[in-house]
Amino acid sequence: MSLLSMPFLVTNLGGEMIFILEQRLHAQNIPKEKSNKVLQDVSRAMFSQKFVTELIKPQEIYSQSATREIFDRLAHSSIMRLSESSMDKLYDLMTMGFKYQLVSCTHPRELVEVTLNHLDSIRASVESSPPTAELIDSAIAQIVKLCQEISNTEFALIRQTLAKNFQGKHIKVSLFLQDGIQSPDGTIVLTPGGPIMNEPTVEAPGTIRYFDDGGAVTETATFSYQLADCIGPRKTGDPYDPATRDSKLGKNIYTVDRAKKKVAPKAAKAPVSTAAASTTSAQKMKEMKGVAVSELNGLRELLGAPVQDNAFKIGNLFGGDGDDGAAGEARDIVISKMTRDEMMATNKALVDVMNSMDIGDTDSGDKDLLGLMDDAIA
Amino acid sequence: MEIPLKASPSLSYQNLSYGDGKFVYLHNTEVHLLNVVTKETSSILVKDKTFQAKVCNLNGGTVLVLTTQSGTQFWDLGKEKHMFTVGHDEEGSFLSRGLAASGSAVFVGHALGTISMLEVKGDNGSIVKTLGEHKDAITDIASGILGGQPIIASADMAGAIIIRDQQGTAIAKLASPAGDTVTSLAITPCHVVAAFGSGKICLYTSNGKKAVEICAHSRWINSIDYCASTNVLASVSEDMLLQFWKMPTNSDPKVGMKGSKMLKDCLLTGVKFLDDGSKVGCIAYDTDKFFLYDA
Repeated sequence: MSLLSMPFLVTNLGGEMIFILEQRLHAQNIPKEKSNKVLQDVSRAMFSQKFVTELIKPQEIYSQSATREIFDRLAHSSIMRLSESSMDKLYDLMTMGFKYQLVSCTHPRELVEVTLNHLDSIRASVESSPPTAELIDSAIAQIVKLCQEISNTEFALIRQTLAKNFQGKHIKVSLFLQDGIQSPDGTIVLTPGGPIMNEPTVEAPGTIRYFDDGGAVTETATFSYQLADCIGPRKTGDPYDPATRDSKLGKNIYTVDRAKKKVAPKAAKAPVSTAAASTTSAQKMKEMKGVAVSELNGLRELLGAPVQDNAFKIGNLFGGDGDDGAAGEARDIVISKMTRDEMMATNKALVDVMNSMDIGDTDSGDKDLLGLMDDAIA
Repeated sequence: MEIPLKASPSLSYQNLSYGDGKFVYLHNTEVHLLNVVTKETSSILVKDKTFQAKVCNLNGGTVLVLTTQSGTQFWDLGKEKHMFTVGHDEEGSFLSRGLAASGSAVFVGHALGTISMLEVKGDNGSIVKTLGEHKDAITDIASGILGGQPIIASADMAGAIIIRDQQGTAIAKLASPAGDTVTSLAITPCHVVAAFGSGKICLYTSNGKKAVEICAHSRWINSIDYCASTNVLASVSEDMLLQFWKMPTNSDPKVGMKGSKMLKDCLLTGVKFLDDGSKVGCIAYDTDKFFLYDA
């Protein structure tokens, strides 16, 4: 189990949430100005300096219910209000999206590219608000710095820890079924082979080398690797440069026309040095002694209470637009839900903290918006 | 053959063990069993989060050993009954990784790089030594007979591999490739075998020298298992392949590729031979099937 999973869990799930909200708000004919405000408000909450700093501290991964609670609060950190049904579907799509990306990584370090793809796309979505874009830039810098400190071994542990969180989720998503990345039984389709990871220790399979005691190669043999035809050339891109980044996982699959998306900000300049990257688990373990329990509450304290004034309600985020090509409704939902009493009992500390929070700053909204929304979802 | 499972396996290294006719694996922090004869599945009620489960030959008998949040638990696998627990003796032990038994000793690896050596006698055990040569979190521990001697091999997150005798004394440190993750270990009569995240399998001699390097898989290897009866090593990887390798012997120093099977859409996370090597079982992350094949 890794103590560094939370930033990747929240950032990537958050990225999926932004993508889906953007597409659904468009599909619901929400005015662009209001839609932008929702996305900016959610992004500001998700990537506030304090929240990101708290997120990257070593800590145990949150439970599924606690993670859901965070995203409930994030979704409602704007003037948008979602019905419980819409929030359920939104969260299902978010988790299935990130689960697909997670299991499709051909190497644990590809998680860096997935995360940065999400962050770059989020930044593009909020570019009309320079202060919000600045917050994303700051978050990107913090995440990049963190990624450079994490070894491949730790990334593998992070991926295993995240994978446990998504175990058992097989919700069928119409978009995934259409794109062929999910089977009719809900299994995520994995693509064999692919390009070789740009890591010095990774080679294409098929060679056997024999060494003498001095370490010199005395003989080289070959064997037939079953998937040899699926292996592509070595990746050459820089994971920290969106222009050359190899992985497409984590990019917005819900946009209709990706070509029109603005170019992401220039690459973070920090070089990648996998050989020098030291493992941090043991050191992080020592640092987090005795603080785990108190830190668990830290993230929730920083999210603030839901905005109350001028909120607009969306009764069915996923219905009524006649276009099932993008973020379509899940045809099959198999969710083990906790009852509210079970959730309250399990997360008593969280609930107590949320109940004690002051209402954060709110922007004044358009009082006609509620009326507009009521018409849109009729 | 595919056998239905009630609980899907989690993604981790060496997530499959076998003994007393039962395969054992982890679903999150729960221990689940599959009876290979009756095909029945069950789980054992452990009052603690379990991080590892391994069937060990201990004092001539078969015991299910679990490392949990609070200590190392010993279970009668046949009766599925808890026998006793030896508590951890240091903070950070709750993230244990690496578990092996040799003779009357059990070796448990920890996140801070130490290995606890437990001495087990009858229905009791205690920690008799803490081994501290590793400086990083342990990833796997294996036991076996190398060059006619019982040995323990341990690996850590930095890629260091150490060979020890049955008393835990370090004999050799292996020259493993820098920057590559050792995910699983096995011991053959001639070599210590290490599987890596790069997809490579390397064979090391008892004096710590790399003898063979196999570019075996294209993605992270999660588990290997060696069958002494047939001298075959099985490896499973996230490239969805189960592969079989003839291991070198004193009379035949070459590695041979014996077979390969693709399990579609499967992130393979555990592989284990039956004792006689006639069959091999493997499991995949988040799937509700157990795969049992002729080896």
